[in-house]
Amino acid sequence: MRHLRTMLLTLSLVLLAACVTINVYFPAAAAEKAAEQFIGNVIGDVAKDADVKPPPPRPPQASLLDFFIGSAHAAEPDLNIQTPAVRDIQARMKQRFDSVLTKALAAGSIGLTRDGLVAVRDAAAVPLAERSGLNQAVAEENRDRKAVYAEIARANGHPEWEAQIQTTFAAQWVQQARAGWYYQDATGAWKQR
Amino acid sequence: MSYCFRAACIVLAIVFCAQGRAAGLHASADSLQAYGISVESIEVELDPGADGGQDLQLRAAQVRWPEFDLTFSELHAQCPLEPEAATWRCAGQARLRVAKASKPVEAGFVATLEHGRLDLQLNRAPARLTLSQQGDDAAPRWQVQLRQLPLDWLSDLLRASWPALSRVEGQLAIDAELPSSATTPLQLDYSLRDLGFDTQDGRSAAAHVSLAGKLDVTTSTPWRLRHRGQIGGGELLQGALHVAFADHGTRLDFALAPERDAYRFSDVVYDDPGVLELKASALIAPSADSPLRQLQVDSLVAALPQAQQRYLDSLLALAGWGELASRGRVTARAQFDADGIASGAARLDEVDLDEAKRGIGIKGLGGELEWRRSGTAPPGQLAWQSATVYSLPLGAARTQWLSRDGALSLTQRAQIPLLGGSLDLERLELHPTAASGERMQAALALHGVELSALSQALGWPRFGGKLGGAVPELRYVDERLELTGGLMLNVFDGTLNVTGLALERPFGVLPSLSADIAFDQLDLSLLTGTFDIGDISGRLSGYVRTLRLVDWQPVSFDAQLQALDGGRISQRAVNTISSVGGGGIAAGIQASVLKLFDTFGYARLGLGCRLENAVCHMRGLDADGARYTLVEGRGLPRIQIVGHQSEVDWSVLVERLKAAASGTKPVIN
Repeated sequence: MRHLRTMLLTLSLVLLAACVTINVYFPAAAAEKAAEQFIGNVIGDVAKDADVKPPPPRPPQASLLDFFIGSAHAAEPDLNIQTPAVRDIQARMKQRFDSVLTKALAAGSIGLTRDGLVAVRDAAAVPLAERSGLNQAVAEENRDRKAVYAEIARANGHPEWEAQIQTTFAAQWVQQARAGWYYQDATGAWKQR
Repeated sequence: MSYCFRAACIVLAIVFCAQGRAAGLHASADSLQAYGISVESIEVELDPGADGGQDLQLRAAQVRWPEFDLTFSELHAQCPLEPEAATWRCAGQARLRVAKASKPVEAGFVATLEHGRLDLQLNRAPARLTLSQQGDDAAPRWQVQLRQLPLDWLSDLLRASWPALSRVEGQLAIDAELPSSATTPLQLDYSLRDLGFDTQDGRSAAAHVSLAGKLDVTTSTPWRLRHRGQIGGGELLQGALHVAFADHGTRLDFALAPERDAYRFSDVVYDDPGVLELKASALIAPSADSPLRQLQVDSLVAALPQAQQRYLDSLLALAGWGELASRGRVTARAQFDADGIASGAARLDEVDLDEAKRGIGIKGLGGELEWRRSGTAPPGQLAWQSATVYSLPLGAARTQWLSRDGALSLTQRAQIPLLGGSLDLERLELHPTAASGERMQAALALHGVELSALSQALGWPRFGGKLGGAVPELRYVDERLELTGGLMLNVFDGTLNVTGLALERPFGVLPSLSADIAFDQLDLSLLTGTFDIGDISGRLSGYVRTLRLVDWQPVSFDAQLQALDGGRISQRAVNTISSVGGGGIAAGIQASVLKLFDTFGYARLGLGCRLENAVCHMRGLDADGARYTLVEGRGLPRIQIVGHQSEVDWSVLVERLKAAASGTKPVIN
C-alpha cells in the first residue's frame, strides 16, 4: 500500500514536472502572438471582421498552471520570427494568398489542415485547366510553411520546438480563417467557418 | 444505351424477317437467341390500322446480353406498316426500360425491308443508330453504324464499373460489322470526340480529348480485346500528372484480356512522335489494395526537353523543380512488381540539366546505369562534361558503377576537378529501396581547391590559399545533409577549420547551412588587405561557433576574433574597428591628433559578437559593465578603442562594415 502511495506520488510529481517543463520552456504565448501577426499579414486585414469568434475558453487546468508559472511566462524570451529569410517567405505567401489561395479557400476547393498546412479538399470544384496549377500552389505553400515552422524553431535556438510551433500556427490559421473557409478539426474532418 | 438500341434492333430485325413471310399473324415466342443476346416472352401483333393499313406491334418482356451484363425490360415498338413495291417500310416509336425502376427510354425508328434485306434506323436526337443487312440470304452480314451518341447517356453503365466517375461527356461514333458467329472477332472502328470526365475526388479528369481507333473483340471465353488507335488533343489529369496531348498523332495500342481476378495489358505502345515512346505490359487488379501487380517497361525513349514539358513538368513543379531546363535523350527500361521497383536501367545521351535559380546543373551527361533489387547487374558508367553545384563549377568526370544486392555503388574513386583542385568521391552507395535516411552513403574528400577561384566564384573579395578536407561520412535524412569530418583551409598564411557541416533543405525553400569554424595564426595584413578595411599587422586567431546561414545569410553565430601578440594598425583600420564597436576612441587622444599619424602600435586586439535574433551582442578583449576594450594600444601615441554599444543590430553592423570597406566615413552615433 505504502509502495503504491509512493509510486502515485512520484508519478504525479513527474507528471506535474513534465507539464510545467513544457509550458516554461516553450514560449506558448509569444509563439501565439508571433503566429497571429505572421498569419494576419499573410491573410490580410479582412480577417479582423466581426465574424471572428472569440478564442475558445481555456480549460481550467491551463489557467491554474498559468497562475503557477506566471513568473516563468514573464521571463519568456520573445519568439523572434523576423529573420530576413522568413520575411521574404512571408511576402511570397501573401502574394500567393492574394493571387490563388484566398479564392480557392473561399470556393472550398482547398482547406486548412490540422497540422498548419493547406490541402486540396475538393479538386472537382476546380476547372480541370486550373487544377494542376492549384496543386502546385498548394505544394509550394506547404513547402514555404514547413520551412517557416522549422526556421522559427531553429532561429530561436530550439529545433525541437518545430512541432509545437506548427501546432500553434495551425490553431492561428483556423482562428483567422474567414467565414466560409474549410478547416480540419482535431479528428481530421473538414468543417466550415 | 447503345447496347439497348442494338439489342432492340436485332430483335426487331429477327421478328421482321418472320413477319415478312407471314403477314397478318399474331405470333409469340418464349425466347429467341442470337449473337449472344436472348429475348424472352416475345409477342408480335399485326392489326388493321385506323387508315386501312396494318399496325405492327412488338413486345418483349426482357432482353438480355449476359456477356456485357446488360438486361433491359418492357420493350415495346409500334409502327404502321407501309407496303410499297417489293419493299416494306415501317416508321414509329419504340421504348424500353434500361433498369427495372427507371423511366422508359423512347426512340423513333424506321425499318425498311427491301428485297429481303432489312435496314433499320433508330433516332434519338442527337444520336442515330443504323443497322443494315448486307450480303446474301445464305450468309447475311450486319453493318452497324452509330453516330453522335452522347457519352453521358452511358454514365450509369460506366459508373457501374467505375463508381468514382462523377461526370462524363463527349460523343461516340462506331462503325462495325457484327460477326457471323461467336468465334469470329468483332471488329469495330470508333471515334470519341471531346471526351471529358471527372471523378468525385477530382484526382482523375480529362477534357476535350479525341480518341479514334480500331477494336478487335473476341467474345469467346476468356474474352480478348485489341486496340489500335490515336489520341488527338485534349488534356488528362491523373493525380499529380497533368498531360496536354499533342493535337495529332499520338499512337496508343494495346491488347487486354482478363487473367484470374486481374486484367493483363500487353503489347502496350504509346508513341508521341519525337517526344516519348513507351513499350510496356502490365497486370492490373482494379479491386486490390495495390492495383498494380506487375509492370514491365520494355523501352521508354524520351526526347528532352519535349518529353519533360509534356509529361513531367506537372510533377516537377509539384516538387519545386518547375524551372528545370533539360536537353538530350533518355532511354530506360524497368520492372515493377507488387513490392515496387525490381530493376531499372537507363541510358543517357548528351543530357543537359540546369536549374539556374538554385545554381545547379550538369552538361554533357551520358552513360548507362543498371540497378537490380537482387543479384548483380552489368557494370555501368556515367560521365559528364561539366557541372555546377551552388554556382561552383565542377569539371568533366567519368564514374564507374555496379549494382549488387540492391545497392548501386561506385566501383572506384571518382575524381572531379573543382577550382584548380579536385572533389574526390571516395565512396558512394545508393539504396533506392531502403528506408529514408539510408538511401545514400557517401564519403568524399577535397584536395587543393584554389581559394582565389572559390572566392571569385562566390563573389567575395579575392584571396589566395588552398582548401582541402575529408568527409568520411555523408548522411541525408529528412531533408538534412550532414557531413562528418571537416574542411581545412590554408588561408592567409594560417589555417581555418570547418567542422560540423550540415545543410538543411539543400535544394529546397530556405536552404540553410550550419558549421563550426576555428582559425589560427591568420596573417592580419593579408586579411585586411583582401577585405579593404584598413591595414592591421599581426596574427589573428579565433572561432565562429554554431554558425548558421539561412538562404546564405548569417542568422546566428558566436564569433571571437583576436590578435593577442600585437602589431600595428592603420588609421583607417582604427576607424573601421571603432565603427564596429559603435564607440569613440578613448584614452584622451583627440581625432585631430590621430590624423597626424598613419599607423599605431597595439598590444592586443579582440572583437566578439554573438548574433541572435538579428542582434549582435558585442564584446571585446575584456568587459567592464557597459564598456569593452577592442584594441589595447602600445607605444606612442597610445590608442585605446573602446566599444560602448553592447547590442548592435546586425543589419546596422553590416552597413557600417560595408561603409568602412568602401572608404566612406562611417556614421557613429
